[in-house]
Amino acid sequence: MSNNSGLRSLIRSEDWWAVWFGAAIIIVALLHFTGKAPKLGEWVKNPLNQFESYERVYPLENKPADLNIEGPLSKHLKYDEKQGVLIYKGLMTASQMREMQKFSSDPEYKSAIDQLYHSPPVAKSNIILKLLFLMVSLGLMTAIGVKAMGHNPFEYLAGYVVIFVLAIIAYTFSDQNVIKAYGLGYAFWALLLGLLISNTIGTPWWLLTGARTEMFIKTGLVLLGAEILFGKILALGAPGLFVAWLVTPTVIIFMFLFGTRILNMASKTLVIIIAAATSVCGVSAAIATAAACKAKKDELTLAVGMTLIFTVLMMIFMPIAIKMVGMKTAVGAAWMGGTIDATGAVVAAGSMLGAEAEKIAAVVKMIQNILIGVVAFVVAVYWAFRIERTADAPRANAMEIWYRFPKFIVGFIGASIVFSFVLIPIYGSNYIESEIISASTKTIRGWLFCIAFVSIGLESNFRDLGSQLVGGKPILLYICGQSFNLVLTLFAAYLAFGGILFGKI
Amino acid sequence: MERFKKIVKFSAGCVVLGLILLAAASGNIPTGGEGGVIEHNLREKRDATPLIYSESEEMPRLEQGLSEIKLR
Repeated sequence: MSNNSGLRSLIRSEDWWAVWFGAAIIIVALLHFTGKAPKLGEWVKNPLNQFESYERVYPLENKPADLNIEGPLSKHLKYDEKQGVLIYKGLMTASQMREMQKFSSDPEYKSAIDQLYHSPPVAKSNIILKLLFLMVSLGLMTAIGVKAMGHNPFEYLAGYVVIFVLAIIAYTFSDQNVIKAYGLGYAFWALLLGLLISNTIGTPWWLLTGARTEMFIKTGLVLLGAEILFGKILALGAPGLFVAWLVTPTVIIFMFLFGTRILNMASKTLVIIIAAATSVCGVSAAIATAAACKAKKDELTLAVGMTLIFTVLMMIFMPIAIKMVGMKTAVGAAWMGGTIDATGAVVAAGSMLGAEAEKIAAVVKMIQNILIGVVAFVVAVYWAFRIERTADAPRANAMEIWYRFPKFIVGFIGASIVFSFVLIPIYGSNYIESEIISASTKTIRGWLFCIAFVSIGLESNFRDLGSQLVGGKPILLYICGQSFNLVLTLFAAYLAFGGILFGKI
Repeated sequence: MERFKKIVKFSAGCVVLGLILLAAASGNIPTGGEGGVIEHNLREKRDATPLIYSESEEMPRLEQGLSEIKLR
């Protein structure tokens, strides 16, 4: 308790350091001290392409009358009317070229797109120096905290640098265009790389000194708080709120009771992580909940692994099933938005049903995402109040709960409140979302989570993971919980988007 | 001998990961054909990896388009 209480804890506890690190990164982003944080790009055949951004330009004097650039490709293809040129940013494949040719029936335009595809891409900027700057600045900043917490910062930095390089390799895997299409993101590859090292040659001690998983996760979560914007809750009105916010808590409570009382799973932390991952939004909810209830690393690994695999399966098969039974598009979209764990997979699956379904699915998921903060807070309080209390201990008072409460949650919720209710009303949501969150904090948070997952892999071994799976209870919990989630969300989607409760959409 | 075994296991793991990358880069990973979601993602340059809504670069476009959907 001593380390967690009093003013001393403000510079000794990891939780508070996560808050200071998160606040420092947010302040630097708000003051524009550094430019955009470096984000690796997509590559198709050559992994080195991810370090550069590319552009192609081809002249097209007259804009076709029926030109309608839509979908995700609209981010890449632009027509510059002043210069009379088509500009394409990024790498292009033959199938994308054919897709863009559909944007107009004009033969001149189609030929220009073909020429654009065959013209060599020009490298516009390189991010290697920026990446190096991020690695060094993040390393030095966290080393200050490591020193204050009583550890050797030089030993930490030696491990940290290698872990950061492993995180770059994890991003390299997830940025390949086919792998991106499958939805296997950095979390999957970072875990796999860490596990490969720890379960074969073993993680050397100097590398483990850099694997400060909790510190990376908690700092990342404070930054994640800045992305949880409460103004998004009403984006789809009452129907969206009904599907996302009514079903989700019901599924969490059901899964927690099912796991602890019916399956009699020994680890309540594992049960709540799987429940949060299944019902809220997969990996990010699992991370937030695991940190809130101080779960073991192999429990988080297990929950993340299951959710990543099932997300890919649901992304592939749910649109097929919805089309097969001829379900109403809006109902199917809301159903997928409420049940598929990751946003990228939801958008991809939703777009299989059409443009309108893509929007509904994505926004239902977004409304559900906002619940991460609420769930993490409730879990942290519940754990501090009930679970961490011994059976014979007296009822904890408010101070006792505060001592046990994971303090980084204060930063997480605080960032969310400041961004939602102070910064957005003052500066506007466009500026805050594009210039602060997208340009800086979101990317740095991604790097922190990625190095955290490499660290988790480096600290885990298959024997511990196997012991968690004994009796298959975690998988059974996931399957039963997800099945309950599917049924309940379908019912709610039918009521909300099928014209029963709120009128037809 | 034990050390050698560990290095062999590690190398085998690296080879498997390398082969996955090679297969993906050469387009030799099944994508489900024209009607499948993977092929659809590739054709439209969709990124299915974002974990949360703020990670998806599609969200601003989708949120904007939402106003077109009228509650009837």
